[in-house]
Amino acid sequence: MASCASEMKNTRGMSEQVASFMRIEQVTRRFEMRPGAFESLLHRLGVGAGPQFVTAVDNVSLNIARGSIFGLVGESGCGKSTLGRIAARLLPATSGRVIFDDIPLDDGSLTPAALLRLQMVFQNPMASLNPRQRVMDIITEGAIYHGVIARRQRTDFAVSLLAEVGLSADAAFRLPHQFSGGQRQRIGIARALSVSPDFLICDEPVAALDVSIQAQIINLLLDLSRNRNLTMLFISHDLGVVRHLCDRVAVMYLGQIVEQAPAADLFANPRHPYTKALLEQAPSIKAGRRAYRPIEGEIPSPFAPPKGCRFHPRCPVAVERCGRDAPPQTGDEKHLARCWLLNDGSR
Amino acid sequence: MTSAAIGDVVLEVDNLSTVFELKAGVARPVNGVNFQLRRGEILGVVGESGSGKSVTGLSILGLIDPPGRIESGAIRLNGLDLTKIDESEMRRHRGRSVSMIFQDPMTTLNPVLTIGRQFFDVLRAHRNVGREEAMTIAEGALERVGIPAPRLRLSSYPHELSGGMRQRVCIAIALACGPDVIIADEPTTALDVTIQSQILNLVQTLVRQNDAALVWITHDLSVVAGLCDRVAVMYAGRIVEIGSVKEVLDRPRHPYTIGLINSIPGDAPPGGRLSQIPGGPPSPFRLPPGCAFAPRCAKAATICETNPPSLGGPEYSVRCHFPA
Repeated sequence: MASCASEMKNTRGMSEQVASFMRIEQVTRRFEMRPGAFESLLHRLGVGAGPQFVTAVDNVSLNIARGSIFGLVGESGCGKSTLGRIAARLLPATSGRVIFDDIPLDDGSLTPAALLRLQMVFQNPMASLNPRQRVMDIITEGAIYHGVIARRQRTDFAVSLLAEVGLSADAAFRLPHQFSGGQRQRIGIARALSVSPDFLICDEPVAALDVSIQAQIINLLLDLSRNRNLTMLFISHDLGVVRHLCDRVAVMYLGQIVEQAPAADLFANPRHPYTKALLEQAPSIKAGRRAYRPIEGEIPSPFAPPKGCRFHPRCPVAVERCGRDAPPQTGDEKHLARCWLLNDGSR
Repeated sequence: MTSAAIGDVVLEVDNLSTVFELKAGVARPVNGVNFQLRRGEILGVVGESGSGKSVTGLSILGLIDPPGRIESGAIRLNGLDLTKIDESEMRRHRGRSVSMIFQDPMTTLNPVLTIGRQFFDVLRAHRNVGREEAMTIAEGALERVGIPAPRLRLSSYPHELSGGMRQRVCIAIALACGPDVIIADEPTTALDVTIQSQILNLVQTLVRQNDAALVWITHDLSVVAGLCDRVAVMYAGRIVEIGSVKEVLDRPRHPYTIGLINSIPGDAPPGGRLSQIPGGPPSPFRLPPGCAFAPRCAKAATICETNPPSLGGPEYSVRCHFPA
């Protein structure tokens, strides 16, 4: 949407149509937990429960502007990684659709070349790099297979990719275990870049790294987003990192987006009680010694999400209606939140 | 720092060095660590992976197995040097006067025993209690760490609890015998923000109530800022800076501490470059002869490469030839 794009730091004065680079429209993803043989036998005999469903992503809509970095934050199990995998087309949606550069991702006419434009960077580079492949093969295999480069160009190509992510040329001949965590993540990023994508989905790319190394990778991602004009969906639980890196942020809780806004606006004026709690409780070096005032309770089981607003059992300001009806998303295009109290009040 | 009254020294780690003798050479993950801990105090030990913070914690509990060993130094718990006693005597202290909380409660708790049984084992090892009495003590302990329906939970297995609840159980077990010193190794790293803040709140309260001393090992400076009285920053097996949280975090003096604090996103304008420390830490097999941070340090001079700087007094000190 044009109104979101105008908030972006990277706005390059685009028309309304191209502003939204990826549109996630009412995407829902359900997983079925199949019962074991014994349980299904019991079920057939009329005792015991049938298959159980988890709605990992529940009717989520997002617009990601071209050239922006979109942050998706939430605690474990909120569905942020599932949504990322749907956006990367690693997982189909149960309903709803993802439209990437005006092409629906489930469209049969989508060519492999078009799909190369979407690449993913994973959290754990040790698990996502083949331990028995040399770095050269890891980062050039995809490009050669898809005809981005010819096989004889691979050495030059590998060296220039490695230089771009801050590794020396001799890295090409080593194996993943010979690198530190930060260097491995650089290799993972180089592999994603090897097919010249214009959209990167980064799922917790710095969560496993030490602070000083994390800063190096964040700087690298910022440089790449500018130099290559990349759009990014950045999934993280770390609010400090998201605040630093992202243009727009969505907060997820139990499969739903509870609030989304331009980063500066969200951190300055959080509207949803869950966002407020997250911001208040995120440890900060500047906060100094303090008494913690944690919100009560735990994240409910996604098998049996609470009725009404999903946050109401833990919400410090919940009213009776919150447990009864699910609140609609309210606010303007720029700053949306899902809370009854906002609905009744000034907004 | 303003906090509950801080009392006598309960734990004194004096020039501790722990080495691992491997085929590849001798690794020195802990290379001369000194600190003191007073009753009622929470000390944060901060460092990046490989800095030796966990090995320091394990050394204090006598949990270093071959090929590792404590090479030199002393660990005095209420005056008793734990490096001089044998394993059977150590077993009497471990869990009673010094106990540990680990990062991952799922691997700490035995998956095939009930919570109650695991409590019973700890209590029976150190206190002369019968089963019924142990269960009553356990129930009270679970209640104090905020577990709902503690009596019922005693017959639960670890997998029936959430991550936050499991960590509460570990904390309850660690506190069950009223230890003087608790070593906590990244206990909230695996937890979500809202659950982490519940646990931090709980730990702060319990340490004060029990008049114990706590060593909180973490990679996260921002957790230290909210929780601890003092902080020790470790790099390549040594404490490079130690002092009150306010002193160290507000006016860091060691170039490594300064670099660490600056690389946390927060003060930098959003979208700007974060300041980063170039390079990576040295290998524990090949520590530099001088200051271990010198190869990454912008201020390093010739003396830094040859002479290791020494750490000053026990209260506030910094290990640098050119502190800020």
